[in-house]
Amino acid sequence: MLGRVSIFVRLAFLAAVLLAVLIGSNAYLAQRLSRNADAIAQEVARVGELRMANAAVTRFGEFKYWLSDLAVSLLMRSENNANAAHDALMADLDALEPVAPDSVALIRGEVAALREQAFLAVDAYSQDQRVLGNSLVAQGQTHILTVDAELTKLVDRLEAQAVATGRDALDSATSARRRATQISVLTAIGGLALTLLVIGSITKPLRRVMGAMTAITGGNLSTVIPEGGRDEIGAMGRTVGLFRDSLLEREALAAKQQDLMKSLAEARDEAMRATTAKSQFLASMSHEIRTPMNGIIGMSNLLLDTDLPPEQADYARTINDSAESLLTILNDILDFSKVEAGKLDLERVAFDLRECIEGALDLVAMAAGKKGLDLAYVIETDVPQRIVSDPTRLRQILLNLLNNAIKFTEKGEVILTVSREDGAAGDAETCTLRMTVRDTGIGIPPDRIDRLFQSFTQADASTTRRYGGTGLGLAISQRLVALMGGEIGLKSELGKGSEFAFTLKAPVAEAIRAVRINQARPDLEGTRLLIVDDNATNRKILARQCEIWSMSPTTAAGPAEALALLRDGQRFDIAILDMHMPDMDGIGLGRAIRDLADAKPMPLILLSSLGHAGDHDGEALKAVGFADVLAKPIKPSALLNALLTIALGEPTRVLPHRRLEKPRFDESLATQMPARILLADDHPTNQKLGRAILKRLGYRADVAASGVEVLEAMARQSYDLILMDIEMPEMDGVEATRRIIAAYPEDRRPKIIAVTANAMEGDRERFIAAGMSEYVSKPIKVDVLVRAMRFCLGAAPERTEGRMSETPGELDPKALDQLLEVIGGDRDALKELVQSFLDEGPDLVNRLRRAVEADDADALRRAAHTLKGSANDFGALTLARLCREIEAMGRASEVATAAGKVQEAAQEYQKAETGLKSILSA
Amino acid sequence: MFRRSAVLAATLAAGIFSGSPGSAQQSDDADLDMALRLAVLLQSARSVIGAEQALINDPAIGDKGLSGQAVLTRATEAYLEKIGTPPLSDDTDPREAELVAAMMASITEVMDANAGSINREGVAFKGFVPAVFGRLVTESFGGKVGDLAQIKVTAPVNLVRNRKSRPDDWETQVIAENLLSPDWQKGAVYSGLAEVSGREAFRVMVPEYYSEGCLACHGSPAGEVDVTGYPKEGGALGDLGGVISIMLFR
Repeated sequence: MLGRVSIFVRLAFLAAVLLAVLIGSNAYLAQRLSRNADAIAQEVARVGELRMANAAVTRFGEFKYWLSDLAVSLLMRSENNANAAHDALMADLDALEPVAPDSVALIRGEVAALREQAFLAVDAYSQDQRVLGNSLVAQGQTHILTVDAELTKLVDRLEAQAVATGRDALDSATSARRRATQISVLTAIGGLALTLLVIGSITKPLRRVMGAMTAITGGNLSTVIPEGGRDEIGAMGRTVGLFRDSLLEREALAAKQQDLMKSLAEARDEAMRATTAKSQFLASMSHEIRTPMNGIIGMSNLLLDTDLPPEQADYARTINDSAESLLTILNDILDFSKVEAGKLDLERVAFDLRECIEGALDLVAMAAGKKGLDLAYVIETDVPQRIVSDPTRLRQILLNLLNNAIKFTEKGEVILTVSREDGAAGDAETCTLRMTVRDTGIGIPPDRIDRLFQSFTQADASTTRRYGGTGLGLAISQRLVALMGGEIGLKSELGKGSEFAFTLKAPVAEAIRAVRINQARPDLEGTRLLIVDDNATNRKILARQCEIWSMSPTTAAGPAEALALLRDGQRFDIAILDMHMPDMDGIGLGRAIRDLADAKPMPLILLSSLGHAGDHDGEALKAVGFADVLAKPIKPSALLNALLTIALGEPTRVLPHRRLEKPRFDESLATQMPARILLADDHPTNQKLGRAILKRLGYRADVAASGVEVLEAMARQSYDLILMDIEMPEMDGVEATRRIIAAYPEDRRPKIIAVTANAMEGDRERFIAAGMSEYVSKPIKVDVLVRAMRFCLGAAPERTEGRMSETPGELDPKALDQLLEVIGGDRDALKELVQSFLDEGPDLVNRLRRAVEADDADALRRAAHTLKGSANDFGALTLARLCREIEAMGRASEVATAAGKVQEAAQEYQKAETGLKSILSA
Repeated sequence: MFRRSAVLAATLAAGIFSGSPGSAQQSDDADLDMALRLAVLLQSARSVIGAEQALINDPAIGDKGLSGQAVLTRATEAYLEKIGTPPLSDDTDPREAELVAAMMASITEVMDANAGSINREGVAFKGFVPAVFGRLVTESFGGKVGDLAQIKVTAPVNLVRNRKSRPDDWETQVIAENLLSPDWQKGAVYSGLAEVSGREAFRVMVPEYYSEGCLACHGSPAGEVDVTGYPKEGGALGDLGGVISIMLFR
C-alpha cells in the first residue's frame, strides 16, 4: 500500500504522526501534572490548617502556663505574657474559623470565661485573698479541660483531612507517573512500529533492487527484477531492468563477438598455418628444384666448354638459357613468398645513391642499347649523396621498373628521375625521395592499372605471351617499397607510355666526400656548347647539367637544325652529338660538321648506347676524330671529365669514369680469363644481381643457396672460383670454405672470394685465415669484383699459364694494367702513383722493422696492412703475400715469429722497387 | 517652707510643686513635711538592706546579724543624719508619732519575719532586695495604720514588676503628665489633694532616680535576664525609676 506513495510523502507522514503523538502525550501529561499540582496545593492548605490548629494548641498551653505563673508570682511580666498568648490564640482561632466555625466559637467562649476567672483569681491573690484565689483557679479548670478537648478534636480532624488530602495527591501523582510511563512506552512502541513500517517500506524494495543490481553486476543476468511500486524505488527497479536488458544485449553481442573473434582467430591461425606451410613448401621446393636446376646449368655450362658442333652448341645454349630463365622465375617466386611471409629483413646501411642508381642503369643499359632506346637519368641537385637504406633492394626495385620499361618500349626513351619529394621542407636527417621511371612504351589501359601490382598479373594474358615474365616483379617491388616506407604508383596512357613512380623515406647519411659534380666550374665558365639530340629529355638533362657547370649550352633537335645554326655563323667551343638520330646519325653529323670550314676544328663528343652494333665501328669514329665517346646513360662525372679534358687541353679526371673503349663490363674478361664460377648466396636478388654482373663479364655462373649446396655442387663438378656469401642458412660461407680446404688438395680446389655486407674490421683477415683468397663487400662493385677475380684467377697456375711470366719477386704486369685501367689509362698518373708508392714504401718497411723491435703487435699489423694493399695494387704479389702473413701474426700478437717474415718482406720490397723503377724510366 | 527646704535639701534636688492651691495651705504644708519625713525613714531602712546585699547573698554565713532591732537602729541613725532630729521624740505631733511608730514596727517585723530566709546557708541570691523589703514594709505599714495613711512604692507602669505595685489612675496620670515631663525639675515632689477609695487624701509623689546600684538589674541591655530572673528594663543613670506615693487621709 505504502509502495503507491512517494518516499517523501511516507517520511512526511511518519514525521507528522510522531509529532502529533508527541504533542498529544505532552498535553495529556501537562494536564495530569496540573491536577497533581492542585492536589498538592490542597494538601498544603490542609497541612496549613493543621499547623494552625497545632499552633492554637501551643498558644493555649502558653496562655494556661502564664496564667498559673501570674497567680503564683503576681509578676507583671507573666500577665503580659498571658495576654500575648491570648492574643496569638485569638489570631489562630480567626484563621481556623472558616475551617471549623463551631469549634472556634466554642473555644472562644471557654477561653474568655477562663481568662475572666483567672484574672479574678489573680486579683484575689494580689489582695492576699488566697482562699478565694484558689477557689477561682479551681473553677477555671473546667474551661481548660473543655478547650483542650475541643482543640484535640479539631487537630485530629484536620490531621485526618491533611493525611487524606496528601494520600489523594500522592495517588494522583502516582497515577500520573504510571500513566506517563504507559504513554511513553505506548508512544515509543507505536512510533517504533510506524518508523519500522515506513523504513521497511523503503528499505525492503530497495534491498531487493540492490540485490538484483549486485547479482547483475556479479554477472547473473537472469536475475528477476522485483516488481516496483509507483514510487522512486519502483522507478529505480525499472531502470535496473533496462540496465540488465542492455547488459543482456551486450553480453549477447559480446558472445557473438567472441564467436566471431574465435572464428577469425581460427581462420587467421589456419591462414598462418597455410602461409607457413606455403613458405615451407616453397622453401623446400626451391631447394629441391634448384639442386637439379643447378645441375642442369652446371652441366650445360660444362657442355658448352667442350668442343661441340654448332648445332649441338646451340642446343646446349638453349638448355642453359632455359634453365637460367627457370631459375630466375624460381628466384622471383621465392623472393615474393619471402616478402609475403614477412621474412624479408631490410638492410640499413649507408651507401652512395648515385652509385646504386648507376649500378642499376649499368645492368639494363645493354638491353636498352640493343633496342635503340634512349636511356637517361637525372638526379636532382638537392638529392642527398648518401642515404641509409637497403641498396640491394633499392637496386632491385629500380631494375624491375627499368626492365619493365625497356621491355614494353619499342622505341623512344626510358628516363629515370630522382628528386627530393620533401624538398626544402625536409630536414637534414631524413629525406623523402621520389624515383620516377618514365617510358614511351605501349602504356597500360586504365582498367588494368589496379591489378598491375597484384602478384602473377600482367596487363593481360596476351602480354604474358608476348613479353614473358612471371608478373611478380611489380608485386615484389610494391611490397619492397612499402617495407621501405614508401608508396608506388603508376600513370599511364595507352599507346603513349607509362610512368612508374615510388617514394622512399630514408635517413640522410653523411657524405664521405665533397660533392664535386654539381658545382660551378670556373674552368668551364662561358664555354659555348652545342647539344644535338633528337630526344628532348636528353637535351634538357644535358643542358641543365652543363648550365650547372657555368657553361652556355645551345640545343638542337637534330642534325639539320645543328648544321643550320653553324651555317648561320654561330660558333661553339664544343659540340655533343647523339649517335642515334633519325635521318643522320652522330657519326654522319660529325662528318658534316668537319666539312664546314668554320666548325672543322671544333671538338666533338659522341653519345653512344651500349650494345648497339654500330657503336663499335672504330674506323668510322677515327675518321671523324671524336675527342671522346660517352656511353648512355650519360653519367655527369664522365661528361665532366670529357669536357674538362677538351677545355684544358690535357687529360683531366675529376672522378674515375668508364670510357666506351674500356667498358666497366669487360665482356672479354671471360675470354681472357676463362673460369667456372659458382655463385653462393641464399638471397635470390643477390643471386640475380651476381649472375647478371658475371654474365656481363662473359661468365655463366652456377648458383648455390647455402654452404651445403656449395658442397653438393663441388661434388658434381670442379670450379675455378667461388663467390662465397658469408651469411647463409644451414652452413655459412666460412664453414663451407673450411670444409672445402679440408676436403680438396690445393691444386684441385677453387679460389674463394668472400662476398658479404656489413663487413666489420678484421673480417677480411678472418676470411683469409679461413682459406679465402679475397674479399668483396656488398653491394658488389664491378671493378672491385673484377680486381679480385683477376687477383685470384691470375694466381691460379693452370689458368694463367702462358699469360703470366711471374716469378717470385717480380712484378705482375697484369696488376699494373689493372691499375692503369682503374685510373683511366693515364700512364702519367700511373707513374705518379708508382712514385708515391716508392716514396712511402721504405717508410712502411721501416715501420715493420720498428714494430718488431718494439714488440708492438698493433703497429706491426697496421704497417703490414698498408704495405699489403699497395703491393697488391702494383703487382708485387710475393710482397703482398708476406705482408698478409705478417698482418695475421700481428693480429695474433706473434710479433717475435714475424721477424723473419719482415726481413723477407724487406728483400721483396727491394725487388719490387727495382721492377717499378724500370717502369718509371720506360 | 523653711523645714521643707531644710529637711529635704539633702535628699531632694528640686523644689516642691503643689497641684492644689487653696485655703488649706497651712495644713497641706504640714502634711507634705510629714509625708516627706515618712518617705525619708523608709528610704533610710531600705538603704541599709541595699548596703548589706553582699552579706545577705553570702551562702557561707549563717546569722548575718541583721535582726529587726539592728536594722531599725541603723535606719534611725541614717534618718537622724539626714533630718537632724530623731524620727520619734516627745515633741512629735501625735498623728505623726503614730505613723512613725507604725513604720518602725513594720521594719522590725519584716526583718524578723524573713530572718530564716536571710540567714539561710548554702543559697547565694535570696531575692531579699531593697525593693522587696520596701514593699513588704509598706504592706505591713498599711495593715497597722491603713485608715490614717498609706505608703506605696510604685513606678511608671511599664517599669512595674509586681502587680501589687501598679500605680492607680491618679498616680499614673501624675507620673505621665508631671514627673516624666521634660519640663519637670529633677527631684521635685508633687503633692495635691485627691480621693482614694471614696476618702479625701493629701497625696505626695516623691520621685526616685536610677543610681549606679539600681542599673545592675534595671539597666541595659533591655530584655537580658537579671539576677532575679526578670528581664532588664534598659534604664539609664538618672532616669525616673520609681515613685514613693504617700496618701494622708483627711
